[in-house]
Amino acid sequence: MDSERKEPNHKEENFYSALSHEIRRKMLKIIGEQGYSSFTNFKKILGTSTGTIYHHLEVLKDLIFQEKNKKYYLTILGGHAYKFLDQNIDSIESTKITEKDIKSPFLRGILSFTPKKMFLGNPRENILTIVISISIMITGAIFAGLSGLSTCILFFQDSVEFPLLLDPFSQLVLGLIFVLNYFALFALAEFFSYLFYEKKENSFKIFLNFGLIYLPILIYLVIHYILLILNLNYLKILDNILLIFFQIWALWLLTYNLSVNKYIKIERALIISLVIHYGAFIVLFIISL
Amino acid sequence: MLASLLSKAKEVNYFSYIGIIGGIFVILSEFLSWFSDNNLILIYFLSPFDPEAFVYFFPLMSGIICLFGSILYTFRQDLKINSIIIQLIGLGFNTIFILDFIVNQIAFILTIQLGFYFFIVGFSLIFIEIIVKLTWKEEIPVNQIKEKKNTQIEE
Repeated sequence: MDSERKEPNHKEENFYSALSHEIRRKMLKIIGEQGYSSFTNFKKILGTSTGTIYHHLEVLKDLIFQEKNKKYYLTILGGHAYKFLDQNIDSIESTKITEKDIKSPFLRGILSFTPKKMFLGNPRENILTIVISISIMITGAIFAGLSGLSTCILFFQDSVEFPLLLDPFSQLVLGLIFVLNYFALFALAEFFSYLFYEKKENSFKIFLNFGLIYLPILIYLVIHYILLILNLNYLKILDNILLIFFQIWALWLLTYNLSVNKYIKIERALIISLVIHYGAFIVLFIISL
Repeated sequence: MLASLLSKAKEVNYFSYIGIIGGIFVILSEFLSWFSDNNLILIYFLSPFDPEAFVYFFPLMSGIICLFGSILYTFRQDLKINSIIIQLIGLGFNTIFILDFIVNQIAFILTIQLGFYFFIVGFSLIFIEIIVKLTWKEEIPVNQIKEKKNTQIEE
């Protein structure tokens, strides 16, 4: 009875002790990614001495086994360890972007324009985040309607030639289209996070602070409306360039939000944002044709 | 200085050149004929009263920005996210150009010429480079994976 109780503890100890060394983690990853590995292969990739590898193989004896063909394979526990490493590296990597040691001044600049606390904090406790999110959604809808812009995720197109003469009903419809796109962007982000990386966590939290992603878009809509009222046609090109920059800023916020709340590496979150953005572009292109 | 830059460039994975080629294609498309034997610069000068005519320079601007992003990554692989954001800005110009210009000129789709093809190929190459860069696993460099596979085959 006593030995039964000790057995899982012993395995757990071995499990965590195996993961406690960088070389052992690398060895698990090599086998996990390739299915198996030879001793020579370990030596070549790790660049360490034969003795060191033998020592680590000894520590990994519950997680790795050697077949008759001399190749090393993962045991069931080893497979769990590899999965554990593979999944948790994302969580660890996802926090990297919040660290102060980001070398590039460009990224530091972008991060200074990112409401990190609002994305990271719990919106249930932070009523201000929810109020700001809802305000952004409503104000965005109003300005999209007033400017006569038809929304497609983060893209906008003039729905009529003279938007300022648009009747209130059409303005209301355009406002509703903006709100629908707001929810569509959230749904697509959730869908692709699950489809690509099987991440379901913090959906409600993301939903509550989702309006923050539309902050750059709201700024663009306000500027667009001002240019429209002032009838500055020659500044249309400025409007286009502004749209590009505010789109990229919004994409960055979406990426950051997914990364910190779904524990996805920043690169992976960027893939989701890209797929959504260029998917919307293709849809808009086809509709325009 | 030059030698160290060249040696760094040699260490780079070949896919990073896809973006450079894409950027060059997009830049070249500006100077090649699009519709009815006119290149975009000529079209710009032929439409002096069009307030949106500046949009014809977007492929050139986009190509330069994307090329800069790709070259930045070639020499500084640690600035991957930066280079991707720069390339996204470049592609943003392309998307606006496609929606503003190509959609309006769709009636001439049957007369499209080399410039248009260069633009589309360049755009696609840059997009592919971004996706490859993002999906690339950096833990084990390419040459090591190749070595690993070779050793396993040898054994």
